[in-house]
Amino acid sequence: MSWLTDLLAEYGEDMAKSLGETGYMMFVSLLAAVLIGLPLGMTVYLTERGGIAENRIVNTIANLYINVVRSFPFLLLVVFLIPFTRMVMGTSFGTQAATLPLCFVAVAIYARLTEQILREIPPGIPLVARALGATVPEAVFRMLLPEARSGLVYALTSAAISLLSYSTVLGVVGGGGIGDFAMRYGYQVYNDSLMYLTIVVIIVCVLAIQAIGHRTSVRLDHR
Amino acid sequence: MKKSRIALAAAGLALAVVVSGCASTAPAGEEKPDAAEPTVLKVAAVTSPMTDVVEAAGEAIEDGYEVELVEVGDYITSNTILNAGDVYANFSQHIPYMEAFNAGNDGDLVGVQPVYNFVIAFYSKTLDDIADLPEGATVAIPDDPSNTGRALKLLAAHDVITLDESVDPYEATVKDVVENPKNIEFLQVPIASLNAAYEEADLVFQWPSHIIALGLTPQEDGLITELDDRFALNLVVKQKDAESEATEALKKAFTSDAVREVIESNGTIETAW
Repeated sequence: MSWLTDLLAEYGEDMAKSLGETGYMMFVSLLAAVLIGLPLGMTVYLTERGGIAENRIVNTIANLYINVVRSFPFLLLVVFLIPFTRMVMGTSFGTQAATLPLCFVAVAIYARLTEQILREIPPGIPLVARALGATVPEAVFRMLLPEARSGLVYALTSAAISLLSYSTVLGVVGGGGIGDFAMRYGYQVYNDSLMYLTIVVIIVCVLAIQAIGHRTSVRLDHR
Repeated sequence: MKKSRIALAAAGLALAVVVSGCASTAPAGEEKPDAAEPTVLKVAAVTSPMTDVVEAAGEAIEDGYEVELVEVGDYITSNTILNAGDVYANFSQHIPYMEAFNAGNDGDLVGVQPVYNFVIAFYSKTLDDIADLPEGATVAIPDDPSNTGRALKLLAAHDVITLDESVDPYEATVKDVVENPKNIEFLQVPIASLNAAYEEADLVFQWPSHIIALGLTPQEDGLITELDDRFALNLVVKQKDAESEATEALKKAFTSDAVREVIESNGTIETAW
């Protein structure tokens, strides 16, 4: 195992730094997913035809955002957003700036997943709530969210793993992260053992995210 | 109903054209059965102007050979498929890049013909003189090893930084910078992103074939420039083919007037033979 300790002695510090960058990018983008993506997905669900707050214009716009963002090859979305990122963040390079395009895609992915989860709820539930005199916010907070919370957490787990994968291409704007580390310190310099070691580290991260998400989801499932 | 019939007729017509096209070409090939089949040499390249050079060489190559351009997505792949014998040659790299590949992959690739050189340079949107580089400036350089070393070496040659003397400057990384009097910060991104970095970094390294997209040339706009024969783009084959007749034919084609014309019309590169 001396090759392993040698690798870690030489590259451990850089690898830890890149894991920190990935952690930052995922934390911020998951926050965006929950704070913006979840309400957006809820909006799509509520405003669609036959929904309890039917509104064709809002529904079309929300759907358009989700579909357009998800259509972009992610690498090209990052490049496409460079001028916008520069305008908003003052720079388009570095870990913080790279997080912006990741947030765009996080919102789109989680909104769609949220909509899917909500569709699983028997359609009678929100209609009955409305018939009983509940306002739309009451139906959302008292009926829909409690009913869907287990599925929403599980979907967030899935979104997190997708975002980990998306974050690996952010080296293109100097975003760093564990995927960029695997490319630059492994693939590009033909250091295969370091490349595979890094992939194993990423696999461990994914397994951890999956395990935590699964447990939380099961615990929240009141059915 | 009427529309679908028209569509059907159109499809039938298209099919007929294709079939008759095939039929008319088949006998043309049979007319000269005594002409020997040309030997097809597959040559991998990634992007223009390298692909243009391969195509020009294909027009110029002597009878009995045919060049087939194989376009691949990245530079490492162009070497992987050559090393595996899927292509006969590639035209995508300089010798240091090839040596790094050989060392990392037990490769036996050799450069047989330098074809063109290019002037690499640092550019700036805000500065006219490298001496005006401000304290704490952001300097964008490539993120791959051979070009990182090259960019750092150029900065060191102009006293912007000092590199560790015990390290081969061609293999230097940002960690080998021992003196950095202006406390410049390095931004390492892929070559394809350096043009975008030009908009906001104080100083940007770039290849001429990329910076031309911004309307800049090293001769006109480069703050500091370098032309190093070591980095001439080379025709590369496997060791066992280094002296074969086919390789000789390729070398001749890659130094033909047709290739010279492509290089001279490009404006950012210079012939290296």
